Amino acid sequence: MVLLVLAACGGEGNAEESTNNKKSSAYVQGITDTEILVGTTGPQTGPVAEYDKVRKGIQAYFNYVNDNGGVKGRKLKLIAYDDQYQPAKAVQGMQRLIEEEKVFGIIFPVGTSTFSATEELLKESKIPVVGIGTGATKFVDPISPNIFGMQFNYANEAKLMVDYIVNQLGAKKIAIAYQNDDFGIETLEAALSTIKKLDGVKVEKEVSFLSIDQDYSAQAQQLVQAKPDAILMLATPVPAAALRQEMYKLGATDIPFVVSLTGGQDKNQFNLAGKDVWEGVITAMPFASYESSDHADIDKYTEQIKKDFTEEDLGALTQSAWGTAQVFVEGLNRVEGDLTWESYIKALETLENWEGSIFDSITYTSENHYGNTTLRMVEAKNGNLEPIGGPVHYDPSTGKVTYK
Amino acid sequence: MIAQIVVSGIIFGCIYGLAALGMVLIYKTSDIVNFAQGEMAMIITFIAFMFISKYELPYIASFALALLFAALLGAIVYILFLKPIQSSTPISLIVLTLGLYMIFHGLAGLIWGHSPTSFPRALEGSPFQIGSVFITPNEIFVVIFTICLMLLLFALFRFTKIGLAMRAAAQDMMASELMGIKVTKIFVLTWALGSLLGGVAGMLIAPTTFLHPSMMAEVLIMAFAAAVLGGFVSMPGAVIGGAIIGVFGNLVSYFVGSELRIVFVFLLIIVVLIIRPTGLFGGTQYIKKV
Repeated sequence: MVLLVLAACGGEGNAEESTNNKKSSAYVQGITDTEILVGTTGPQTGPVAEYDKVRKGIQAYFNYVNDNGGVKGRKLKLIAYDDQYQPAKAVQGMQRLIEEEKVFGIIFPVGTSTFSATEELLKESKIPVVGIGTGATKFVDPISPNIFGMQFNYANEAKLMVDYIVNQLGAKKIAIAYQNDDFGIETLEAALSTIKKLDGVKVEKEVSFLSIDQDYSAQAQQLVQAKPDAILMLATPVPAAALRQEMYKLGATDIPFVVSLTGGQDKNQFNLAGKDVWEGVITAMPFASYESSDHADIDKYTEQIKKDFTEEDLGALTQSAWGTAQVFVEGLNRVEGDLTWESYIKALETLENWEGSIFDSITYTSENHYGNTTLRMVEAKNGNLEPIGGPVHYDPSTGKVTYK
Repeated sequence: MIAQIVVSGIIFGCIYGLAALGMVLIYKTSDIVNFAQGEMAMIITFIAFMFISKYELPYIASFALALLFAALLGAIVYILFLKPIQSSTPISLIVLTLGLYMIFHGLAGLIWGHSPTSFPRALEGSPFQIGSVFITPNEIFVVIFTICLMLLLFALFRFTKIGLAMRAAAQDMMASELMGIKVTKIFVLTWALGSLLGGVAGMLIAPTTFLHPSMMAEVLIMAFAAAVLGGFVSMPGAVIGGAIIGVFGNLVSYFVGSELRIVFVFLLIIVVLIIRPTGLFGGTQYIKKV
């Protein structure tokens, strides 16, 4: 609590300071004639260092923009701090970014618990934060003027997946396996509330696990015993792979297994669980994967990632970060007149069903900061995530799911 | 259904037991609790993975080479870090092995990164059904291998001269030295063996936990629990302790919830220690040391 209060005070001071900066140097913090400083925090080391790919994706797009003349003549510079997925380190890093590095904006801070710890500091500072790396509802509903979502909202995703399981797979009895943490419980509640409203559909079994668990045999047993028409798994990648392995062992892979995109969208799942084991898993992606996408810019993404990093870095995380960086830059391009925090936020809120990024469409208005509300359902087949149909749109205001 | 839960528990329990065996061996002989045991196992597993993926060696060759590395690692760790301060207070030794834990964890992250990757099984093959229980050939291998290793170590301690020397060194270093036992050599051997056992545990569990620097975090906790339950000085005790913890933990996961697995496991240990303070198999040895 003390930390939060201090952080909040620091943030406030910083906002004033930035106004002073503007007076003395004619620009707000992080902006010079030649440069725009942008900050991010996320795990670069530690148990979930996989998410360092987010930094790589942003950096690759910034390099691409800089190689092509920058944003209105200014080069983008990314400063990324490693928080090891620890809230205390995230707060420290964020404070340094805003107060010492004096970045103009924050892009794609990774993680729900880490973002939660920095939320007050960011709100108080009023610094623009684009594409938060969490789909938790509380950060975008009700909206905060300077905080913009991007990840498909977890709760909306669970609702969309229930709709898919019931209306596209025809399931009536659903079993749910959920991770017992903030992320899992939020998605579980969303799924349960949706199922409750559907006639003739019931939850046959709920099983839980912790992200650090190693033995999933008990959960797999419970799921098989429940004889559901489909299983919805709300989890991160490692538990998703581990539970699927147990289901495979029990010969129960014929039950449709639908995994939240957080746990299923990365192709590394084939490697983790085993190609045969992961075969048939249904999951979602926030965009068409770079392998199947017909988006005009997709080659630029693959070329730049390979140039700046390695081929192994291609995948959902860098793609998502690349798309978020595209949105960040589009906001900068749309600013008319002086580039300030206020003018930038105003420019972002003019994005309405914008299709210029590798996401299907992005919308930010003064009432909606969700960002991406369209998913692609995919199925694991022969080591690839193959699309099932076209984009699936979820309308947050009506709760309606549309299959295109 | 319960049979499946029990069998799965035994398989995991064997891994906990294997990891505990190395710790027990080191503690039993050199009186040092090695908190870095899990991280050493993880490093060895990464080395095996390097042989498999980078040099494309067959599994058995990679396994054997990794074990050779394990023995070297154990010996080097003892000679470089532990020997110089062996006569120091127990707390210094604990802090040292905790420091090694941090160093190995950090180094592995720097060298191999933190992204999880898959690790091959010792025996590939589809699961098959025995009665109502599904089991994979690899799981059968894990159980048999663990039991063989446990018996081998038990025999080593009980029936060989080296075992006698190890027991003597554990009882009284100076008296052993005076009786002509090369205590340093015995300790180097113990650490090499302990590290090797950890390596075996690491390579056998990696297909399930996936290979990453934090893969042994929970295994180490459960291995400690297994060792404590078994009395911390008994080889069969470590493996049986592991099996009890594996099965009990799995039953808790099934009937109560996986969130409470570790809580119940440690509750069980507290209950056992209240009833039998030296653990299930630690009685005689403990009294001897006193």
